[in-house]
Amino acid sequence: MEWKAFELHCHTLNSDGQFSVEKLCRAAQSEAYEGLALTDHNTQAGLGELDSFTARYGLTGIHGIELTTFFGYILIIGANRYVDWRFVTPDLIDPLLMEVRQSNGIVGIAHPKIIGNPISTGSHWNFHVTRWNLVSYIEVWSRAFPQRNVQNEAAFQMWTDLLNRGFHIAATSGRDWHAPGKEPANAAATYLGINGKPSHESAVDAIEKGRMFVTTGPRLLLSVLFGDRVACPGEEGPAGRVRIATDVSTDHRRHVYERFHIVPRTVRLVHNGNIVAEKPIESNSIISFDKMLSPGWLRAELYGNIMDNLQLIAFTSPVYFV
Amino acid sequence: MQICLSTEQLITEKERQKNLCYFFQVSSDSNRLVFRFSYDPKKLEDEKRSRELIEAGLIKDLSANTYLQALTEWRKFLPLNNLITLSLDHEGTYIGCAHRHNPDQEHVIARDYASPGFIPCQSPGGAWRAVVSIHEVVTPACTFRLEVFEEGA
Repeated sequence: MEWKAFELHCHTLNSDGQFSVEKLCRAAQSEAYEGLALTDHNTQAGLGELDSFTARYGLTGIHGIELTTFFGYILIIGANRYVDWRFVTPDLIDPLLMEVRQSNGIVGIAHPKIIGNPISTGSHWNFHVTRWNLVSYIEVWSRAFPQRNVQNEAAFQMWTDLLNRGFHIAATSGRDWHAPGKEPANAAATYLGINGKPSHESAVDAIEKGRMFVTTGPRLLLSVLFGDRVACPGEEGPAGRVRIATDVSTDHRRHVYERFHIVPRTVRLVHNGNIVAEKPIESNSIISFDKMLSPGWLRAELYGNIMDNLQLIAFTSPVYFV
Repeated sequence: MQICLSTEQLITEKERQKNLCYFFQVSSDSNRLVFRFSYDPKKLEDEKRSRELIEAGLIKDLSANTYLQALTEWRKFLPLNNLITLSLDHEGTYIGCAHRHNPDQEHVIARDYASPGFIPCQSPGGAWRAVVSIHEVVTPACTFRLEVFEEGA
């Protein structure tokens, strides 16, 4: 398996973006993304030319759409047909999510806690989901400089609360990329654990299974040893005593984020919402932990300095304990 | 060009978060449709009313401490805008949507071309539905206009 940096929330001229599909791909390549999802508002019109341009720029392209409704925005990855967004109401979201799943689509909730109407119409999540098992991920970090956005903190907490309720849900970042920026921006990447050849299918599989971590800088890998099997985010194993390893590496995409003076300092393990371990990063990039863990979930979080401010730099999706 | 549909509608905040559907027929020998869609006004110019709406929006979607901080910076959310979008279906198939903020739009659907957001239509003849989605109305009233023209072979 290889970890590849993706941008999972992009717009073009087919909705309200300023990019052509080609210029979007070129911008993604210049920022060392290895793939992107095209998620125009309420249209799949750009998907016809996506594959040729992602191939030209050495990217893996994911076919998507952002259903931009009156009551919240839904990111759909990999659906084999269009699912109608126009007539859904807050109490009728479950049937729409079921229809997405029946079309082989993966459901993500875009920026759920962003300020909605009348400032950003429809973008705050106001749907009443009862079947959270139909949702595969929540975009908890939205836009560039995600640590500056208090609505991202609320989205992160929403994700944590759902994990504590027992749902298996991954977390992503999304630039909500509409246009090239005038200034360099510290935007996150969602790294997907790709099995086999990078492709739309293997990327969608990684998202569906929750094999991912999010970072605005260094890579953060989490591994849990269950007996003689090593598990990564999205996977599960029996509760009990386990050996855990995290690995922080700063080489990948360094030229993209080094201008923001990102220095990793500590790795934290969070189990069922509680901090169970925290260790400083020293000379070795790998840190080992030995913990007794009850049923639930475990994620790793990386803290460090961004331009002299101590921040959350990266986090993984969970490994689950059953 | 022959007109297939012409409508003008005055809407208020009562039509917020509603879809208005318009059905029209296109003749079988047509090979190109032109949609002219516009609405006016776009912006809310009344600053006092803007502040009221912004405050209502912030208190709804933020926690107490972030609400108060955001309120001190309410001007950064100006101007407030109306947002109305157009999407199309042909014979039950979704043709696409122009989810854009420009209040003055023209779109073409033809056999081998479509404006951004839409897909070409090989045989445009038949039953069409134009759906006007009222995402937000912040002005006391807003008027939208939709005209559809067809061109034959």
